Amino acid sequence: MEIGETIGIIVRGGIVLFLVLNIVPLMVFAERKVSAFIQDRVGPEKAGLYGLLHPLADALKFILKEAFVPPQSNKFLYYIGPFITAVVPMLAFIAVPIIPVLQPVSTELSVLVVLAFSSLGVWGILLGGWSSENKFSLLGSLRASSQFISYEVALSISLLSMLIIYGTFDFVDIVKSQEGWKWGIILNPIAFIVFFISVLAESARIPFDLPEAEGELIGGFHTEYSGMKFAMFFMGEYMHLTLGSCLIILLFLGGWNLPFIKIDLPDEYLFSSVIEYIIYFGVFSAKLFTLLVLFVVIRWTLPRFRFDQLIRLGWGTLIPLSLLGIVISAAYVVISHSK
Amino acid sequence: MEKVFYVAIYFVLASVIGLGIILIHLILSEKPKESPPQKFLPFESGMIPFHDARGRLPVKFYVFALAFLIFDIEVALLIPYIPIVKELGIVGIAEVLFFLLVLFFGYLYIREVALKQKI
Amino acid sequence: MGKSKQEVFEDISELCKGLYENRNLRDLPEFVVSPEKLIQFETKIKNNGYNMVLDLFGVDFKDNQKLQEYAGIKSRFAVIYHFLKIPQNERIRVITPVPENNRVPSSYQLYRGVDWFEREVYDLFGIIFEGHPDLRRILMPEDYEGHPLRKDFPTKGVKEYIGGKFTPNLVRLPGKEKPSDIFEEGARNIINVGPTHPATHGTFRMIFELEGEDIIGADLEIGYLHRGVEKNAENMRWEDFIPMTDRLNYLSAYLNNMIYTEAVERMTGIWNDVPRRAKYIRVILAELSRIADHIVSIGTMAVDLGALTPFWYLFKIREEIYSVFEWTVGARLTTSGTSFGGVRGDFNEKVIEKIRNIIDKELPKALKDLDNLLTKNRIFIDRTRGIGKISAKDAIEWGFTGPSLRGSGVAWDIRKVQTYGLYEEFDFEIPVATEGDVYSRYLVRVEEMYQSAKIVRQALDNLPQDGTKIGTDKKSVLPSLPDKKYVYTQIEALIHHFKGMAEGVVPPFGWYYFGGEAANGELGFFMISENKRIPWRIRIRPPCFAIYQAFRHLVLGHKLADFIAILGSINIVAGELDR
Repeated sequence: MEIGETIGIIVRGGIVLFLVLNIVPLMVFAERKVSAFIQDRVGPEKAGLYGLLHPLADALKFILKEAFVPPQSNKFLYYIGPFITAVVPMLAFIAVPIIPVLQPVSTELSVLVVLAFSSLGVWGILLGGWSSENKFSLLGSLRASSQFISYEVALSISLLSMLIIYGTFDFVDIVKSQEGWKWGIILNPIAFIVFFISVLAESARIPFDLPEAEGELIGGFHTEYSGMKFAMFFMGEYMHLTLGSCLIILLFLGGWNLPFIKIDLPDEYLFSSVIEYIIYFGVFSAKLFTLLVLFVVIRWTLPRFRFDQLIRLGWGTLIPLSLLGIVISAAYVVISHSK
Repeated sequence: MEKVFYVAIYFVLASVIGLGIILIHLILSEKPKESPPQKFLPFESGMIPFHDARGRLPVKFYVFALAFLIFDIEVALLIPYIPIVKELGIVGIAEVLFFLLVLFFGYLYIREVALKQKI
Repeated sequence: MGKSKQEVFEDISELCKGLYENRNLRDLPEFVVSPEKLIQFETKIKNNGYNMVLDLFGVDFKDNQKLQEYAGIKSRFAVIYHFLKIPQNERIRVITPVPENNRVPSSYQLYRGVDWFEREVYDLFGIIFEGHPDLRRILMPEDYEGHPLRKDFPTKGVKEYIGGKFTPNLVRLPGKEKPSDIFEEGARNIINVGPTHPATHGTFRMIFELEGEDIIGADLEIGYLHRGVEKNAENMRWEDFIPMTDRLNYLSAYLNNMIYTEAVERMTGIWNDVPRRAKYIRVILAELSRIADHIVSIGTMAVDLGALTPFWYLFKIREEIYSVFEWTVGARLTTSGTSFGGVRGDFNEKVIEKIRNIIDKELPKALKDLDNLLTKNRIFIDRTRGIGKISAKDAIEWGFTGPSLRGSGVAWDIRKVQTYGLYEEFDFEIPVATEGDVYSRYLVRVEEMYQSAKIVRQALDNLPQDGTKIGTDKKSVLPSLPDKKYVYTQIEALIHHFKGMAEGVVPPFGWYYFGGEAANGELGFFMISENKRIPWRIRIRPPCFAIYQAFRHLVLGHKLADFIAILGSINIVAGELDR
């Protein structure tokens, strides 16, 4: 319990939380602009240059709106719902090494920590939907809980299959072992597909946005939410998506590594390690934004599943596939072991 | 143990942000005006609801929770195997695959019996 | 096989006082059937292949002996049925006088499709259909006083009414009528969907009983947009009713204009004098609005299913089409683009170029995008295949027309089976899909857009040059008008001219039915003229109304998420539904 380390945690944690929170307005902007591009529209452009300030205006609007609580609802649960949804993804970033020095708490069990925290997110939606006393909210939160736990299984099994290959729980080690060409996506493509789809489902975006399916459930679990409480659900969704993308990058896309190139500046330069970290950060960010834009493009391309189709996809297709992923990993381990 | 302390610091940091957002909202938000009683009804497409939203739920929704438990425990059982996967080598892999085979039969059962019913 | 039309008529006319003989000169063969013999009569014609009740409505002949004589009845009210034989397109009209006690037998047991039509007559005329299982008010609220379409009901209403009482009477899935035990009862959930719900494009209310996600019971409430169009029609000139038709199916207003105008023109007998260019312009604009209507139908269905992008690609075309309307008739949505004897506005080179651009370049491009985004999309196919399935027989029984019927495999299109517009001069096909589900109806609509574009292309290629209107001095429109040369020189002629113009077109005494293929199905106008400047009654046969009554049966057993797909595929437009 050193003072220096404590300050280090606060500084690193502060930077990470700052980055994660700022992903949200950036994603809102990207979502609007990319969807506008896809749909031959201009998109919002009034506030700021190219409409850059629209997310800020939105945030202001959300904050200034009336803090309405439906009288029938349980006030504590009503507030704790969006709180959990927004805070849990932030908590999960505790062990995500965007670059090695930016991992708030470094631990050799980082994968398990992230997995444990990220799966808490369903509580927020469940409690929020249940406490609203609205039938649409209730249906939405029921759908959400069924969906999240169903895809959690496929997600964790495919994660497990990658861990079998890497043989460690530490993200930093995992990324280090992916140097060069040995990216997870090449070693076990099946696990990548399952993981990718599960991340999409866990962050409840089209085609998996059944909890809030506005066509049928009006707003789904957040029908009774307005103002900043609604915005917190929104933030939670985007941060969850960011978290999922980070996990995909760390596990499958080589983290901060460039393909086939080993970034290793000679030590004699003065700031060589700083430059290295800047390059790492750039590479990671580039991968992250590519993935995020890919998610946005998927959202604006596909229609939405129906509840039973979603469950059938999760239990009927993804779980057997993820088990197959373990077999592939096992085969890889056997082959590399026998060499 | 000191890791727990660090984690707690991070916890506080994140929670402060979350609580801060809510507090700012509560302080700065527009104060409620006198409103018609319709505003305080749960939104049900503009109609007065027939009955309360809290009632029993069909058992279908719970089936997934049970199935989820089985698979999550299975994942938990496999976790201790990860750090020693390289040491155990082929024997270990064979054991894992056998474990998965047994699990797969369980999966088939769940698929046939529990999930076949209409959701 | 079967009897000839003549033999059938001989056969059934035994039941109706031998009145058939002198009636076959009107627009449809007519039979006057007393209420006692109605069911017997209907059984007979149903056995002879008349498989659809196209329309059922009431008429109030209060104190109008001339019309009663014309109808062949002595009672104040009459219920008029239009029966249709698909695919032969044989129609008959049955007039049933309503006795003093206002009770007639219900045809529900023979033709399920009269369900809502009988409710509507009950609502608006107070005629009780004995044996109808669910005889409630439909357009007016439950506790409304009076029956608005009766002639003694003032147009402005009796008193101010606030509220809108409605007691749902759910139709339940067979086997789910009653909960089997207390657990099942507790697990049931009744929710309101609409009038302010994202999936109800328009104002109507659905009440669903859910068991988990399954819809096991459903009821519908309509009438939120009821503006009394039929009542208003009895108080305005024939010409003034054209803007009212805009507000029926407001997504394809021009189609309504065209059908109503042609109905009055045919009734008046000036149809043949309408210049060909006017008819061609009508066809072009009507087909363009059919495309616009299908665009809204498909686009909003896709939006509700979560695919927002196809909606934008399609709406760009709709925007272009509306700008064509703007350039031609001046209005975009509510066009009022026709007048008796011609059209308002004419095409110029620029508009023609615009239309060619739409149908040759932009529409095929958008439809190709649609093809890639939806038609071949696995998720979309999974969401729509096998959903809201209705067999051809059921669809005919419910009174389906238009794309919804063609989606069930019946090649039925009034543009083909009847001389109407100038459609006989164009080469086009009737797209038919066989499954009768949401996907089939979607495919039919997409293909119809191609066919409409084909018609527009042919019409543009052969656009005649003979003017857009019958000249107003032509006596064929207004026979009472004096010659133009006297109007300029003699004061009496001027006054006559003024009076004639002010009164507008007056169709001859009698009644007339004319139906055309609107975007959702057969839109029919049944008009009774007293040879006065305002009509005695205009009955609108809305295609949505017949289709929507089957909706609560279609959704049963499906998931909550499916109802939006079904609703989108049958394209309910509240303006037309409620009138």
